[in-house]
Amino acid sequence: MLIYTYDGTFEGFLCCVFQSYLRRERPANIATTNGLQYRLEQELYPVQTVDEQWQRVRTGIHKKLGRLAWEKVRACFCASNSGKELLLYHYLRQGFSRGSVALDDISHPDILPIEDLYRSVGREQQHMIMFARFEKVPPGVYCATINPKHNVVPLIMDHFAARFNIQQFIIYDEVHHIAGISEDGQWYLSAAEGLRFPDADVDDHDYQHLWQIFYDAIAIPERHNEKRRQQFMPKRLHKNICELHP
Amino acid sequence: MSNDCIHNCAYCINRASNDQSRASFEPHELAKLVIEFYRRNYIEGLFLSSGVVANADETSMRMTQAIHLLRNNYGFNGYIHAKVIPATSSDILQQLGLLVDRLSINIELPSSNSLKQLAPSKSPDNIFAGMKQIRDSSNENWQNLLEWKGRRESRRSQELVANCSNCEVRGTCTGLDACYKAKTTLGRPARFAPAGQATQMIIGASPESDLEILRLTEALYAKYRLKRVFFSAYLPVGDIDIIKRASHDGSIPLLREHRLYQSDWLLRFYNFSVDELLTPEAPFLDPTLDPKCLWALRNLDRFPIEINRASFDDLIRVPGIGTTGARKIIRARKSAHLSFDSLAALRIVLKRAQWFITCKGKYRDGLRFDHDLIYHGLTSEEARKRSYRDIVSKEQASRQLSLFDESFHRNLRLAS
Repeated sequence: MLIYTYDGTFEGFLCCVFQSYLRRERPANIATTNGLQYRLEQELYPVQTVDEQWQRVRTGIHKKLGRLAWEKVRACFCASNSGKELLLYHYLRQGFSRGSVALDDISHPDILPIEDLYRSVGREQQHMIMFARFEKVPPGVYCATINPKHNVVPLIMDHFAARFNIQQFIIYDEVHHIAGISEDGQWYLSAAEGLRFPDADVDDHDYQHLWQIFYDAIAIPERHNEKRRQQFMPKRLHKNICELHP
Repeated sequence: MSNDCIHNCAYCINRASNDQSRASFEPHELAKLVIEFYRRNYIEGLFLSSGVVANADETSMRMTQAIHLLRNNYGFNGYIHAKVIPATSSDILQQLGLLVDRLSINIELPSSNSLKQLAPSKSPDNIFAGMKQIRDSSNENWQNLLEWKGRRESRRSQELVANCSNCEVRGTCTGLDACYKAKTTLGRPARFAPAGQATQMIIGASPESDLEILRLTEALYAKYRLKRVFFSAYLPVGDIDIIKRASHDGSIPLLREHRLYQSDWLLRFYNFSVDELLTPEAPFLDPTLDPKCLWALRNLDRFPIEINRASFDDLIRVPGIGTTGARKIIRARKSAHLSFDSLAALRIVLKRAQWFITCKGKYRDGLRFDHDLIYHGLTSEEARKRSYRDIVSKEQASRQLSLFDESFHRNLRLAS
């Protein structure tokens, strides 16, 4: 049983795809170097991340499958599901062998899991865009802590960088221990275990309080619909949404 | 902006006769609050409405000031929806429209008669005049934008040949470069309410039927090019409930509001007309079943349709298949022949759709295409809760046990 191992980065994964075509073989699994539990019958092939290789795969996806497919692959790679690499690998193989028409065949067993995964990641991305709550920390950096199901920080940074323009901000994902940091309209990611933000500005508490009052005042008790509310605002996200903790 | 109001509309909490404390924002207070909320990602945009302090123009001016501060002093680029106060003078409305994304004027009630009774100080003429102005300004704005685009196109073809002075490497500028984009937005006319206009009316405070309400809605879409009509179930507010409500049990007509919204969607996105949904003989929507299902049941001769061949327009007429589902079907059937299982794989909910479609020429196993059976399948609590397989096995079991003929059995089920 042939297993590819890679460094866990998206680029590394694309190199695995490249290697499988170069070496004319189909790995039975693709796993990160640290995440692999080695068993006897497994034959390992460690894939090196080489810039030229993943760039060629990127160009290939863009040319043959289109920009949307690239976005899909990029988003699905952010999923927390184990085994996503193999699903993505099968998806890309289908696409490369049959062309973009294969990706429209959404009931196909190689395509369907990625469609579902994309929906799941996309939903989480939307949740985080809606529910990341920022606090102003001296000397004027806006900080948010989030706890998403998937590792979506790389997918929401563009949105917030455009929205906040030059405002400096940090989004910390306490589940995946990744922080997205934005300065002067540029952003980058950083591994950050157990990051804690300093206490917020004094006037920040006032705004938080005003927002809580507004949130409570705008509600119409006669129209309260708990089921609907939980669909829009899942309970697992409540801990980082400030208006729910008066 | 303020809950202080000179009007005395019976359905409104801020009516002049309601005994409550009054407060107003200053424009700069409001702008500051909004931008601080926006920076913390508490809000995505602003919906600004106000009680009428002193008179319409004065109040509208204050709203315009607040939005002007937000847009120009704080650089707020989020969404703004402003509620227009009827009888605002046209130049203030024009100014407001150029600052916001969406404008709306509430029509308040579904007929001028009810408006006269419940909101005596508001006149339908003012409301429609405002809607007309917004429509015309928006059209004019579109024309200007198109002309500007035309000018830009002709400029682009000239400039592509010449060197772009913004580029670091001269002569490399194609129409897609960022610097070129920045240059091409120069001179673009300011947009007038690019997200269009909307309105809102109160349901259940006056005696109009659903047919009248939807006729009005359809006319508003056609005549004033509204993007959306909102329905709001009447909710008694303030110290006393001064309206004798049209609904007999006095409950809030939330289900009626829901059915109206369903019909509204059918009008806007599914090419339905009001006459297909309601008739003068039965002018109210049915609480037990949604309007699309009822339409399908009345027009069973158009069904079942074949999933692998039907056009988009036919697909979206199937109860349970929406525009998203129809698009998915059309996309998927390009490369595969679809079965009921592949529809399930596309995440299309078959609960209702199964009764109205065939896949590869076959009706779903265990179901029969029969009006009463379909009605039963769509409405019974049991059918709604259980998966279709349970219905099928139960149906088969009952058929085996049946000593009577089938129609007797069906009637029995319907009666229970």
